[in-house]
Amino acid sequence: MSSSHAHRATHHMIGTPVKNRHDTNIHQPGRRLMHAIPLRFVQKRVSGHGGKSVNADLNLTSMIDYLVITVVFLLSNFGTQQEMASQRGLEIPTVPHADTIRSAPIVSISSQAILLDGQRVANPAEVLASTDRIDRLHERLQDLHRNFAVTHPNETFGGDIVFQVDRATSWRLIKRVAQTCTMAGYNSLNFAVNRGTPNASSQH
Amino acid sequence: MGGVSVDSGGKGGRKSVDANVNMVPMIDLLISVIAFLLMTAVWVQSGSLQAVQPRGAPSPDTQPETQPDQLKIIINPNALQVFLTAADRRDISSPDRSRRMEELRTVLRQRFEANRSQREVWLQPDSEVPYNDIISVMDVIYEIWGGGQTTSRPGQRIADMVTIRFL
Repeated sequence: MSSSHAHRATHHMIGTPVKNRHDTNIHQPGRRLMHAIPLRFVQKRVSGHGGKSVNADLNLTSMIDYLVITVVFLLSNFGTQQEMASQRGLEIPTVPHADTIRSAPIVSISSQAILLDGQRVANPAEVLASTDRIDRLHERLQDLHRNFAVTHPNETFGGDIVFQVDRATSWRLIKRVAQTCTMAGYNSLNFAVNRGTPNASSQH
Repeated sequence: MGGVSVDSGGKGGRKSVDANVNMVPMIDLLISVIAFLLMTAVWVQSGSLQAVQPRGAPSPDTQPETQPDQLKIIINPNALQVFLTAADRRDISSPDRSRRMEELRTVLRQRFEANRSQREVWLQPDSEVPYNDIISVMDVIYEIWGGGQTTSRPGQRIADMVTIRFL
């Protein structure tokens, strides 16, 4: 190949883009996005024609992760255990070691009242003053005992009763109530507690 | 807004097959579920400590049942007494309540290690003892006889491992 022919060929390759698509696709070096779109045009579009872009991107992935983890945590801690209703002002002790509570009649004892399943059955002052059994409580418990076979057809009567007692109550009052319960056939006393680590105030 | 685009084609001048998943209802649902669970959750877990009350006082004619290996705890407002027999009585009379419970824990652990077949503890609280003190003693018993487990395992209650009775 002669030198003039070679020079023409080089000029043809490096010069203006070739129109004929069958010709060799060799272009001048430089940044390029596509054939027809100059890169500077794209840059202007993205950056808002030279001004600062007003689009704010919110990353949804981390937010959804957080929400899903919260839902899973709440579901795993969502016990089927029913919250035990308690008398207003009744402060139940908190201890770390306890069994699961059994379904049984609930006797609430505080300095204000003695309740059986939420219904008042005695006055603590009267109970302490007398040595007899608590008649109203005894009758109600005997009724529950008689109806046990009907209300719990597949269970045997174990004499379980739940005691929900204010932590400042003296043993004298609890013992009087417990004796009445024992007379009615309920001698397995389940003392209701809150599970957890006792705080400093409950230590005294 | 709030959509996730999944780019899955559209090359060569064909119609794009991008799929948009709308995130807004999903986030709404998750927030609603969280609100529902927070409102209905039971934060305070209830438990129980079981004790057995004798079914009646023995008649004066009957001799009291002599069981020399009965572990008894007498609970007074400011002191505790632990004993099997009168000879080995151990007095715990620390003025600080938490220290008293700590000493009781040590004494009961020694008794439990000495005789693991011992499955009954008798409590004799004084009439003026507050309920909280009795529960604390029962908690120590549950801790030692229950092997330190904080709650009953499935099918096994701590009350099955130790029987607490009131005198």
